[in-house]
Amino acid sequence: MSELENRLPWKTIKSESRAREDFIRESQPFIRHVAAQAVQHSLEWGRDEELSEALLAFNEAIDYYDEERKIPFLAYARVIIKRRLIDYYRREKNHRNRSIDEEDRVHGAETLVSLNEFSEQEQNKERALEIGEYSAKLAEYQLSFNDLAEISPKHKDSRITLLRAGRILAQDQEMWQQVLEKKKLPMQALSMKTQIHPKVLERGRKYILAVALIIANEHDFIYLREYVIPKKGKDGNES
Amino acid sequence: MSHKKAVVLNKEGNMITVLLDDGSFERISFQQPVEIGMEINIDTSVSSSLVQKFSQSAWKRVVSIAAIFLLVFMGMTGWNMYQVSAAQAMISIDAKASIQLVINRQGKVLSTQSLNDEADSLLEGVSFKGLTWQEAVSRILDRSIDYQYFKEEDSLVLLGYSQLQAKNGQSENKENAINHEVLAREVTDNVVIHGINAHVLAYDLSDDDQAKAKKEGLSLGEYAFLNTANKAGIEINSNDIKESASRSKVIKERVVREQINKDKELGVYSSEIKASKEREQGKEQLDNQSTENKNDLRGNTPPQNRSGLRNNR
Repeated sequence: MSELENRLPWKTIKSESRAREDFIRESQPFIRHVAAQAVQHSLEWGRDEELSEALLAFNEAIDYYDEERKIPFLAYARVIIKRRLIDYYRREKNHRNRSIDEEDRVHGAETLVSLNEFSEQEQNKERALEIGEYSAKLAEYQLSFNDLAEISPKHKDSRITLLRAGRILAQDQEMWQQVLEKKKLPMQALSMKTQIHPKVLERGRKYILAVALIIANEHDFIYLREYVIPKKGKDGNES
Repeated sequence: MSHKKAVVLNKEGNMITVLLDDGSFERISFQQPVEIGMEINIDTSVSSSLVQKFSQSAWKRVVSIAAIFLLVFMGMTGWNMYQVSAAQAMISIDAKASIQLVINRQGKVLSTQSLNDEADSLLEGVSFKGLTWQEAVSRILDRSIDYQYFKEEDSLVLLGYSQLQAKNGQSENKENAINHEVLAREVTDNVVIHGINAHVLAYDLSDDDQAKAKKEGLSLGEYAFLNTANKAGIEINSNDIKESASRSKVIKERVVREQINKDKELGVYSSEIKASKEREQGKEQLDNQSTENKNDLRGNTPPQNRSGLRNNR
């Protein structure tokens, strides 16, 4: 989730052009990630037309997004971007046989369907895809969901401590690079940075890694990340 | 009953693995139809309970098998074995980790019971079975320090002792004889050795109290300390007393300290250790008098005394 989305109310993002522009600018890495994933090759701003389409789709998602529906915005935007790019390729394919008016009609109709059909079932499907990807990532580290259920910290304080360690690990580029390369946690560096005792980190090693994998790949795990981000309680404390 | 949102990650028959919105992963039995990716609400108060994981018939089988094993075991072992394996007493130690030890007539540990996550961590990979209770207590405190469980300025070390089989008389091994005061002194020695500021509070509990503590899901020490607090007019419940931070707050209340003093005749032992201060004073003494006679003075310093206490065991 963009920091700006956290800072500004949706009403402001929707209605004030400056706020909307800032929000889109901050979300550019996400837009590029989703678009590149959809077209299955890397994309560059200013070079690839697909990114302009994705940007338009993201802007459209802002227009149609309804906060009341309690759907993560980025999950919704991801669907819109993917559908818009499918439309784009269809249009490209049929370009010679169709007039511009016809293209717009087809595109408009399909996008509208995508907005109305973002049902619970569709969200479940999206979540299931994320879970499949997450399971594959965990397998790279010889972890399974059953392992995680066994080692997941039962005590709230322990969990909050390890969640914090996982977030710090995922957000530190140098440490995370080490994880990707060596497939293990840089315990000493993590202990120094988090000020958590190495033994605590060692005991929570698998859990920290599982959490960090979600946060480091936040553009892929939009739904799952909602589950590992601390929620502020009424007392302002993390829970 | 508390409900939490969860997403289904995996499904194997009636068992599902979920990620809860507090970041925890759980494997639970779930009777309703679900698919991977679905969001569900689960009752967290029973989700991880074993009761949910076994059907009623499975439970009956488990209990029956356990009963048969027990009978066979009882039949195979004689009185001598009974002497060794019979539980004589139970002691509890609550610092950050809450642990209970069951002790036999020889003063050796029969079993260890973990009462919270910190205790789970502390006991992971170690077994105290067969050790003398003093050795077990010493190791628990060593590991507590290792795990940084004594972070507070003045930690409260809460102890409970309950003799489980009064009819068997006192321990057959005098060296390992135990009561709440002996337990408190042993812990105090260890605390002093480690140079920790702590308040050691020990209770002697009856069979009846031990049963009530078990019913409340509290350790012996927690149960007795809860009673002390309530008698002193402090409103605190069973859940709060399980938290070491809450206990540390309660012990600082003047009325609670007064109540502890009043209850000393009723099996309460209380000792405040200012080890760091003692150590500094000892060091100052040593520095001031070092020019006179170092060897003589060393015999009077707290560290020497402390090691003496340890050697006299």
